[in-house]
This record gives sequence, C-alpha cells and structure tokens, in this order.
Amino acid sequence: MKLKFASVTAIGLAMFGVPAVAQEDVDFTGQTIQFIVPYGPGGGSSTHAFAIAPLLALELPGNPTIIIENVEGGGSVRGLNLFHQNAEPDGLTIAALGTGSYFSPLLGAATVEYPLHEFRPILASPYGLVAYGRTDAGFTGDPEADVQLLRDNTFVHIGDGPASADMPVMYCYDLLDVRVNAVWGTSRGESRQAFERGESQVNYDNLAGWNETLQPMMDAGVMVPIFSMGYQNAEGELLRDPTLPDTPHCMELYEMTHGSELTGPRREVWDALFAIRMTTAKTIVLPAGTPDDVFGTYQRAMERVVARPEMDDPVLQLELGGYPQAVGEAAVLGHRQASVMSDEARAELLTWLDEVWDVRF
Amino acid sequence: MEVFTNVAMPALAALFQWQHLFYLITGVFLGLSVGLLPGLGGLTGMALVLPFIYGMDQTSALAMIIGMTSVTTTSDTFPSVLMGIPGSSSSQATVVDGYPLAKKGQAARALSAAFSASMFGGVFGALVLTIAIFFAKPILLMIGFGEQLLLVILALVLVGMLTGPSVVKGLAACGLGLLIGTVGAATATAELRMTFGNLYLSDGMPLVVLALGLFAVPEILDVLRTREQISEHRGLGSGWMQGLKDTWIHRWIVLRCAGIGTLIGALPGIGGSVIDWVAYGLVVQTSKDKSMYGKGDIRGVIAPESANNAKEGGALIPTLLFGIPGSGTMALVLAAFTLIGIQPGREMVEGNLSLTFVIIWSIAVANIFGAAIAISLALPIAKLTNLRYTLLAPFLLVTVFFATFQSSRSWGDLVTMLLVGFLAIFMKRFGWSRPAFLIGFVLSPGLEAAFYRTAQIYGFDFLLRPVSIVLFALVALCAYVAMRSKTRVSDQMGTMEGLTLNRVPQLIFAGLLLLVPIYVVIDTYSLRFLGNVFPITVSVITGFLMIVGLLQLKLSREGAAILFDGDRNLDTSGTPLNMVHGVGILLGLLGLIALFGFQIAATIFVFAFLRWIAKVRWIASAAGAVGITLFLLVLSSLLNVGFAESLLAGYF
Repeated sequence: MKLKFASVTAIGLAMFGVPAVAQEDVDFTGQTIQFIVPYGPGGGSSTHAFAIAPLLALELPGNPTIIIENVEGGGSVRGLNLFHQNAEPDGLTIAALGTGSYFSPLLGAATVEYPLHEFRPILASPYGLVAYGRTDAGFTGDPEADVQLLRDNTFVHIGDGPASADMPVMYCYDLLDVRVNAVWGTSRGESRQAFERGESQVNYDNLAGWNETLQPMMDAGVMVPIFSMGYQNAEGELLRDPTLPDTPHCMELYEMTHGSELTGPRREVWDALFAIRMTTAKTIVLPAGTPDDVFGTYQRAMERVVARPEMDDPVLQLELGGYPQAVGEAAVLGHRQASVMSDEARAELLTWLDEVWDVRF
Repeated sequence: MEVFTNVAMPALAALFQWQHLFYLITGVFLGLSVGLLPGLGGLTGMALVLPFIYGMDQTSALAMIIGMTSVTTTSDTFPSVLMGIPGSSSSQATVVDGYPLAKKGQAARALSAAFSASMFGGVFGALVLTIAIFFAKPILLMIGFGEQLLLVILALVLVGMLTGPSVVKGLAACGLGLLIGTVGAATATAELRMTFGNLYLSDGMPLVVLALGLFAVPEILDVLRTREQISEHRGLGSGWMQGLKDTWIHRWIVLRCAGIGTLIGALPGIGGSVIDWVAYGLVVQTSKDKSMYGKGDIRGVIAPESANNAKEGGALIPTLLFGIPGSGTMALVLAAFTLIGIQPGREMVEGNLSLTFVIIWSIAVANIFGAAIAISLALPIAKLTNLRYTLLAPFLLVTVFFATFQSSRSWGDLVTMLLVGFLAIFMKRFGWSRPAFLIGFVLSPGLEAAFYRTAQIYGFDFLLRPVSIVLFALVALCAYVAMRSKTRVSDQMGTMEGLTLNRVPQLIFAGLLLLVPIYVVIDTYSLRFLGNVFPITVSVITGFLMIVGLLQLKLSREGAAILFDGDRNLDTSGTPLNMVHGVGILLGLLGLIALFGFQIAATIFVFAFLRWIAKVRWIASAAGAVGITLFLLVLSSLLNVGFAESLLAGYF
C-alpha cells in the first residue's frame, strides 16, 4: 500500500520543525460553550455530539458547561452559515460538521456562506461504509464475479441523491464501469427496508451498526458485502476496513479490474470523497480566525478526552463511529484533505455529475 | 402463553417498582405539559430529556421516555378544542368538530370524550404492539413502494369527503395544498421549486406554520370580531360525564380508529400527521347521519383522538424491529435507545424481550395516567371558554407566534404564517375547504415520492403483486362510495338560499388563487422531467378546476353552493372590532417583535391589548404583562426554546 502524498508531506513538515501551537492554556471557568449541530436532534451528528460533549466539558480547563443547539436546514448549510456569521473566535462556540457540510462547498452550492477550509478542527471521527448486494440477485462475495455481475446488470439502488450522501458509492460504481437504476430522495432507513424487501438489489450502510444490523443479514444468507471504503491508518496507508478484513475496498476492486492503480484527477476526486466520507465523517471545529492559544487548549483537551477510560465503552464507541479518533495534527490534516481540492479535480467531479446523473450547479 | 407469565408479568412488576414508576409519572407530567403548549410536542420533550438519559438505568430511562411520548397526543387536544388552535400535527382533525363543540358550550364534554378515547386508543396500540412484534416483520416486508402508493391514494380518497359546501372549491383547495406541498427540494432530483432563492423554503413549508396560519389565525380573528367569548352559551352545557358516556356509546368507533391508527403508524410511506385525518374521513364515510360533522359531532372528536394515540404504539413497531423511526419523535427515541445501550432489531423480540415489554406496559400505564390527569383538568380548564375573549386573545396570539417560531426558529416562520393566515381568512369566508387544503399539503410529498419510486422500479407491473390488488380494490370501492355520497362536511352554518350576493369579491379571490398553479408551471418549467412532472400535472388539474369554479361563480343561479359567502350570515354586532382591526393587531405584534425581539414584544403587546382593547384597568394589564414575561422566562430556562430576535439586532 503506497503512502499517500499528503501524509508524506505532513511527516516531512513535522520533521523540519513547523512551529508548535502556543502552549498557554486558556481557562473557561464559569463559561458556557455553545455547540452548534447543524442537523436535527435525532440524527447521527447529534448522537455524536451528545456523546462527546460531557467528556470535553470535563477536560477543558475550568470545566465549562457545554450546551448543544440543533440548527437544522439546507443540509447543514443553514446552521454553519449562522455559525460563521455569529460565532466569536473566542472558544465559546464550536460546531459539528457532517459529510454534507463538506459536499455543499465542494460542489459550489450557492447557499454556502461559510469558509470551510478556514474552520479549525479539533476532532475528526471516522465512520466506515460498506456496499452490499442481495445473494438472490447473484452476489457471491467473490470480488471479480460480483463486479462482473454489477456490470452485466442495471440493479436498483435506492438512496438519497448522487450529489449528497450517495456520492462516494456512486463514484466508485462509475470507476468500476457500473451503471445502476437509481431511485433518489429516500432516507437510509427506508433504503435498507426496501433492500430487505427485495425492491433494490444493492445498498450501502454505515459500518457502525455492523454487528447488530448488517451481520445478521449476512449470516442469514440474505446479502454479501461487495466493497468497503477502506481505512487509512496513522501512517497514511490505505488498508481494508478492520471490521471487514475479508472485504476489498474500492481502490482494490479498481486495480483488480483495470490492472493498475487509479491516478490523476479521478484519483484526487476519490481521495477527497474518501476523506470526507470516511476519515472526517463527523468533525468538530472552532470558527475561522480562532487564536492559537484557544485552539491549542481545545486540541490538548481533546487529546485527553480520547485517552479517557470511558472511550473503551462499546456503547460510546458505537456513537462515535467505532474507529480510532483523530485529534491534534491528524484532525487538521484530515480536515484539509476533505476541504481542499484542485480545480482540475473539481471540474472532473462536476462533469461526472452532469454527464452521468444530469445534475448541475 | 408462557411468554406472558415468564416475561410480560415480571416486566410489569419491574415497572411498578417505586423508582421506575416515579420516572414514568415524571415523563407523563412532562409529556402533558409539553403537549399542552402549541408548537411544542414530543420532539421538544425528547430534546429536553435526552441529556439526562445518558447514565440512567435502562428501565427508568425507558419508563420516562415512553411515558412522555405516549401522552403528548393526549394534552395537545386542549388548545385544539378550546381555541381552535391545532397544537401539533396530530391534533388538527380534532379542531374541525372539537372547536365547534366548545363554541356551543360543550367544551368539557368534547375534552373528556377526547381524553377517554385517547386512553383507549393508546392502550389498544400497546396491545397490538404486544402481538405485532412477533408477526410484524414478514408483513412489513410485503409493503413495497407500489403498496405505499396505493395507501396514499386510499388516504386521499378517504378524506375526499372533506370538501366543504362546493365540490369544485374543495377539490381545487386540495390541489392547491398538493402544490404548496411541492415547495422545496424535489424528491427525485433535489432541484429547488418555488423557493424564491431563499434558504428558508428549501426544506419545504413547515407543517405547523401552515396549520397555525390556516386555522388559528382566522379563528382568533373571527371570534374577536363576532362575539364576546368562545362559548356562545352561558355555562358549560353538558359536562364531562357526558363525554365519558359518549366514548362508551361509540366504543366501536374508538376500536376501529385505534386499529387504523396503529396500522398506519406502523406502515412506511404515509406519515403520522395524516392519521387523524384518515380516521376522521373514515368515521364520516361510515356514518349514516353525517349532517352534524364540522358543526360539532362528538364522533368527529373521538375518531381522530383514538387514532393518534394508537399511532404512537404502531410507530414503535418499525422502530423496535428495524431501527427505522416511524415518526419524527421516534427518531429521537431511537437516539435515546442508543444512549442507554439498546439496539433495535431481532434482539428486541428475542433476548431483550423483557425490555420490550417494559416499553409496552409503559405505553399502557402512561396513557391511563395521562388520560386520568387530563380528564380531571378538563372542567376547570374548559372554563376558559367562558372568559371574555378580549382577555384571552393577547395571550393566545403570543402563544401562536411562539409556537410558529419553534418550527425552524427563523423569521420566515412568522412571515409565512401571517401570509397563510391572511389567505385562510378569505378561504374560510368563501368556503374553500381548509381541511382539504391541509390534506393535500400533507400527502403531497408522499404521493409524489410513491409515484416516482413505483414508476422507476416497476412501471405498471406493481399492480400484479397480491397486496397491491387488494389495496387497489379498496381504493376503487372508497372512491365509488365517496362519489355517490351527497353530504359534504363543512363548518359553515346556513345556506345561501334566497340571498342576493355580491359576486365580485368571490371572483377576485378565485382569480388570485388561479395565479398559484400558473406560477407553479412557470417556476418548474425549466426543471428536469422528474422534478416538474408532478407539480405541472397537479397545476393543470387544479387550474382547470379553478376555471370551472370561476365560470360557476359567474354564471350559476342565486343560492348555489359555490356562491357561499360566510360573511353574509355573520352577526358582527357582538364586538366593536372588525377585520381591519384584526389584521392591524397581527401586524402590530409582528412589528413589535421586529423592533424589540419576542420576549419584550410579548410583554408590551399583552399590556397594550389588555389596556386599550380589552379596556382593563392599568394594574390588571400590568399584571398580565408581568405574567407573560415570567412565563416566557421560566419556559426558556427549562426548555430549549427559541425566541425571535429583533431585526435591529443585526445593525447595532
């Protein structure tokens, strides 16, 4: 597995002594911190926030109170616009980011008014993803055969939209020269129900619920995994997802079917989608322009949070995605990978959306 | 049977331990309080409770959550019946007959009937849940997209009775509702429709905002300008005992509607906010004597109330079995499950069965407690309908503005509600059915999505599936019955026979309404096929209906139903206020909020209204103002509610 270019750069910079963040801790005694979650109160981002907030409050100097506020609308755009407009860079307001928060600016949505890459991240939680297919449609778990099956058929895929949550999986299908009959505008839960009913033959889900929800389906012989997003370890290597060691990731399938690794703008698009959907699926950030001492205080507090014994609780792990949490420089790097893209790659992505899915911005 | 003795009974015993019972009753009180205030509901209560759940033992946490979510649909009947203000999406149909009953002085009867029906409905839902968790999974797997489409069409046909005095106006109103339901992002293509470039409407118009604008605004204005108090009769007429008797007399309706409520709550595709309308439509269609519906028929209260409590039990079925939330509140319940370490799925029926029974018992017990508390409060609270309305009105208006703002905590909520409200005033006056409008709105996304999904996957082959065949036959049957039926439900008293009417205002209003489908066509014309086929088709049909209506208005003889004008029979001598005053009051409150922010505006408004319109002494007016201030302060410190900020705040 090759080291990714960005990771090499990061290690290189560290070796050449990029100045460390200021060491003075800021004190938050008696303060109230507003934690903006730009999604509804029942969703994964809220659960993630509810799980982290009490621990963060314990580790921040002065033990402030953290209050979570849900500001829904426009797929997280409204909440983040308000966050950028109103939050002072004094450490008293933080926000949660989801995949939609990255997709919207990436695609150039006109409603976005926040400077994504200027947010200062303190935590990035990876969430795994697995695409799977029904055995009664012919999927067997043998990667080459399954890809061939996908190419020979136009299976039904039921999801949210090609320019939102389903984008990574759709892009992978495209890389593998697979076409699907897509039905959009459906929530994750409804999609899975439809899959269980046999109305769709392929589907995907978060790996967080693997044990309770997906594995029983596999054990009962209803479905087999086709590919996962993969997993990037601390050294920056792209590996198989540790939850599914027998399941290849998308880039593996590409190499298998094309004979060589994917490179160029399309690889850059994939890397960005990987970073957004897997590495930094849920991020917590401070506003743009937050001074280094406040930022450093938060970073150090987060590092202590992920070292706490509560982190071993499987219930908590489920709420936080189940993978090692990225804090400090790793979070900064992950956020940068997910929020910055070359013009060439962006053009490639927008062309793809236009030509394959008839979606324009 | 052994499940009963080995699992169910011990679960009940566990629930009745002091600690668990305490949390259950706390949940019930929370749920009742939160449901009482319009605009708040299960979601607010859940959001309040969620932070405390983490770390509680499972049985206590479950008792509190379930206790709370089971009774919000009980107490939201208070504002619906007493003031014609639908408190939440599940108590809208109750307004249609409940509020007229209050106006006739039978508020206590309506309330106690509603609460006892709610209780039976909720307990029945728990009962069904007991059996269903074992059998539901294979049944739910048979309800595919084609079946969901037929279910939505069935719902549309069932409530097609509610078209008001003129069929043309009623159907056109339903069409308008369907069109307003398409505002926002298109299901299939995510393209934006009719959002005027604004982020506010990009998620669609919020239901609570629309409902409050449609019902609350015209009702408040009408009472202000026509009479002294809500109840036209002195005293409370037949009291709460009669209500309990009514529920017993109509017990088969309670049972039927509870069954329907549970069923629809469990099924995907329809959505909880339509259940009370379906139950209402069903009870109307199956009644021999339909004449009193819309004017205060107690069955029109019992049916929706029984159904909407039963639906909470039904909505738990997919939530527990699949981890798929059956409603918005269930999404939060699921989040709470995660926090206390419960995983929905097969475990709930196998290893974790005792927890499932704790949930079931909690629903039943909570409903009983909730109904008992609510019934005991029915008589004292019903006395509000005897108060001078000008004393109540300022508080009601503040409440309505508050409730609206909770939808998306944005100024768009307030502005939209008032715009809808002004439209609704004329809809009410000229007899364009508002229930039909609301039903069209609520069913619109479901209908479009179901059509799209079914067509995309099956084409017309879906009609070959067995469940689809049954449903199709049901739809045809109901459509036939609906068309044959002569009576239409409406709240309009009196006929237009023998009156010579000025047709010009009618024509102007109908003409303005015609602009809506025309605008929709213009706005969506440039979208892709999947984004505009539904709105354009509905626009064409609605536009056609409206043109027919316009022709009828111009050409029909005197006394025709289409010429209904509510103002002709209205006796406005009761108070010195008229419509212009009413509109001025609403705009005045909005302006105050824009200047000072909601909390201060509410204080000033209540004081000013009491002093100069209700003509109350300085001290009493000040007391009222202080009262509302304190109430809002308490509310904001306890609950995570939002208050509209002054528009000037951004400039200083």
